[in-house]
Amino acid sequence: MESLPILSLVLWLPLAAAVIVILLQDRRAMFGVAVLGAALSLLLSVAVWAAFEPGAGMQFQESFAWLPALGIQYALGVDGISLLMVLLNTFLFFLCIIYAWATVNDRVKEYLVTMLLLEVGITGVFLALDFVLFYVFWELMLIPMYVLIGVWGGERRVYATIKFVLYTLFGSLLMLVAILALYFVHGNSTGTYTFDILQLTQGTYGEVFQLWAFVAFFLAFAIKVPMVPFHTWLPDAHVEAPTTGSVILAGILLKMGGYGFIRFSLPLFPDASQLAQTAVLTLSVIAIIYGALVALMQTDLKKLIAYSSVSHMGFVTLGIFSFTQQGLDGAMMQMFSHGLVTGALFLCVGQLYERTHDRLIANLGGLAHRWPVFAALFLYFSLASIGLPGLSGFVGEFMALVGAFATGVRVFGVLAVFGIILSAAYMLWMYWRVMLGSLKEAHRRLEDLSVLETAVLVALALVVIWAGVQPQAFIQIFTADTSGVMQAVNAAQVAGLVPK
Amino acid sequence: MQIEDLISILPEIIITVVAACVLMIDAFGGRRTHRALMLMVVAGSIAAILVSVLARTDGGSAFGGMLLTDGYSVFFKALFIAIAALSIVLAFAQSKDVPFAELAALVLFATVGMLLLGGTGDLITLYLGVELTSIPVYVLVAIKRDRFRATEGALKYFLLGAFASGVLLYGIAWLFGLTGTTNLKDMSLYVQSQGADNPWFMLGLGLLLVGLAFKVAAVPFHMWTPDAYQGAPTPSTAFLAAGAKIGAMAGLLRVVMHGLEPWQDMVLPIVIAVAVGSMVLGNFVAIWQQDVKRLLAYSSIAHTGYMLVGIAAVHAQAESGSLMQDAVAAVMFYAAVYALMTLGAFAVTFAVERRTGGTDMENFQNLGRSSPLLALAMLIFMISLTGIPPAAGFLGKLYLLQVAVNAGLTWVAVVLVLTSTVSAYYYLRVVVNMYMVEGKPRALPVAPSTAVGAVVALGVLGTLVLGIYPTGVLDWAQTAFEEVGRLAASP
Repeated sequence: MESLPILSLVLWLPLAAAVIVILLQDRRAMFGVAVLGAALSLLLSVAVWAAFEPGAGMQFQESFAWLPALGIQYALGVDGISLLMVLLNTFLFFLCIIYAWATVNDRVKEYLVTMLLLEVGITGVFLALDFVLFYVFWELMLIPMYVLIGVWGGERRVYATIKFVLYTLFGSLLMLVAILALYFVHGNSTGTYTFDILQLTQGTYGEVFQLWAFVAFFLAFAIKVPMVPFHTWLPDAHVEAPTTGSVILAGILLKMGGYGFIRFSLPLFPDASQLAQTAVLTLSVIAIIYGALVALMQTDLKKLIAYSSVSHMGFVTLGIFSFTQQGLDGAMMQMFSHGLVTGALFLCVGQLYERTHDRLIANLGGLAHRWPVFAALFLYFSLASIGLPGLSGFVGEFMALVGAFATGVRVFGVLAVFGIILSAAYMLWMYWRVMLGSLKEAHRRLEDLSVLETAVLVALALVVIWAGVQPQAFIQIFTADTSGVMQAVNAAQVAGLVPK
Repeated sequence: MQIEDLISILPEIIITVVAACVLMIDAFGGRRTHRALMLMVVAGSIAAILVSVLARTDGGSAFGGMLLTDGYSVFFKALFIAIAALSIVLAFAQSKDVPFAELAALVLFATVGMLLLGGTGDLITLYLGVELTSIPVYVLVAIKRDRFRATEGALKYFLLGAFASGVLLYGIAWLFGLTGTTNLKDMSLYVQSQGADNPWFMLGLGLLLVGLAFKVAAVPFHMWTPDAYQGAPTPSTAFLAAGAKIGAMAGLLRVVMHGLEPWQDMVLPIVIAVAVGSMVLGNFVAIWQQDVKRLLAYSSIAHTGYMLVGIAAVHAQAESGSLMQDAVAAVMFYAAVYALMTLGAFAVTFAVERRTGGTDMENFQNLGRSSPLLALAMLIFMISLTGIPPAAGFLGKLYLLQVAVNAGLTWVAVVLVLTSTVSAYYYLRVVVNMYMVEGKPRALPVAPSTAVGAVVALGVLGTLVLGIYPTGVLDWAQTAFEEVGRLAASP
């Protein structure tokens, strides 16, 4: 086990599959190879989970000098925080590619190569232990996503995809400058010039520098999450993206922002984080309430779920910037749960759209009569999204709220609770209008889910209930590591919301 | 003149001889010989590159300090000769429409000028190099003399270029008058001992920099670029953008490195202003271009700006030998990366032009379906020009940003990244047209000729190798500057 570069395998297997896919011609064979690549990647990441020791810091580390001339290493490793994200990632990609087998017929080869490259990029973000390597993967995932939306997307796909790229690039390039500044500031004060994330996280930095760098990192991550007011790319991208694109976007891409806050912003810039706490919590609460209110108003199903994502991701930043153990754990659980549940909801909407060719809520209705299986699963995921106790969404939101209350300034928690109530309102109202009532004439002869589609949703449903009933199984993966982050940020010289 | 001097300019001699042979053989053999001529140019170029690498004399100089023959020169010699050869191979696909032999000979003569620029140790060599590069390039732009746009572009380029050469020469004369020498290092030493507060220096330096800024197409001396790039036949444009510009850049960098250290207070703000202006104007104006050649012209202005950021860092670090060397290596690396990806992008544009008859955005529509490989290559070049990994453009920019931040030019680095974001918009518009617009069914597959295909393939290979594992080239750039540093340090 020790000698096998297992993380590299998890990371690069999809790329190997992509290369083989390029050489093939037959649709079945191409999908077979792609599914195999994604499945192996998933299996290996589960194997990592099985061998993982919670609380033992970075594990399965690999490194070699990639570009010694520039001080850049190829260094990988997982701790609990990244492991959960990697698991979510490989799981969702595996399901998406299976789902695509049933649905994608246009430019199959290009589609699969794009998806597999996307998987490499996102996995790399969570595994990288070198700042430049991290940045490479962070941007590497940009182009496949751009192509995915732009080629297989809806009518306004070009507008949506360019908006997505420009927003993301704007944030991430500023982060690149901050990374370089960090490199020199750390080097000038300690004498070791390195991009090693672990070493840089150990360092302490002056308050003014922290503030500037924090802002640059914050923009990159806040755009990804996305926090209000940086969220406007998200509804466009979601609406125009193909189904699997939306799943990946909501399921994992947004998590890169939350991951970035926990992994980088808090430990690297504790003073700046403390100073920014009130502002970020305010933005989080605004995102929760505003996202929910806007979701309530939507007439397009995909837009509704997109805005619900803004609202739900608000709980993530709320939990993170509470700087409490419950808050951070809640944020992690909320990210995991939101990835599964919103991914599943986008799959449901995609299935709905493929059958009815309509996403406008007003044009739908009564579909539960025709599609009992679909109706049951859609209801299940809608309830999970609301945060029904026993399903995964409840755990994350509850813990994030506990964290918010524990800051001592209760107003954030009190306001955020309204987000949950509103989420019940928009989800149930949506479900009522789409699935209940009288069936439209045009929809009388539509088929229920195929076996493959059902299997994909059931797989997600099982993990959702697992994480809801026994959240400890997941929390124990990362809780020691989030506790380290919490201690790091609370060791700051500057007091945040809670006076010491 | 000694025999060692001649050996040190052996690559220049080889290129000149090849050019002369090309002209003679064409005069007697005519069109039938073009394929053989093209192969001869390739063979001669490979020989010249080998000779320049093998005959590298560490930290030496020739002709009494007029020419420097250090690693820096060798790096640029190899780069320039390779660019020239690839441009000529590209032009071969067009040998029925343009006088191929004249074009090849002109490219080679201009290359000799660029080789001199890379080895500049003296303002006279600088001027000689600039002129030797410029004059053939004026003709290259106008080589399709019956086309209106070609004549227009060439005339603008020539008139402004001749004026800029005059300005450059006038600046050199002033500096000679003030310091009594044209040798860069002697000049620097003289000023260090006498003090740099004579206001007339400002005039001489200003004129010198204006002349060079024109040649590298930096704002505000960029006006000729779009017209010349659009009017010239595409292979000439490729050479103009990837070759002539980098040649002038190599000369400018030499001047900044060796000659301008004492004038830091005066020169640094100018370099920064020009860099920022080029990045902002180049990137913003490119947004509105409909013609891909014009788009690449404006983008090349922006890339000049990026390299000038590196040159500003070189200048800012002039006191510290090793940090300056790092900055020089960053500019060298970016120059190589830029040359490769620009050449590749023009090669694809050329293939599209030959098939569809134009270089408008619309001509790229549906390329993703009609010829997937060519479209993929263009995608890689566009990603690289934007600066997104894993293409080389990313590492190039990373290195430039690294030296800029280290030199304390953080705000300039921020301008660089912000304008890069803008550039994503127009580079990706090309991609949008190739893949995402269901335009008129231009189903004609764009099958490039072998020559064009080879250039595109080499460009893709180079862009990816330099983007993923460029250790060899980086080491080369960094050891090249070590000797430059040694030279700069020794009186």
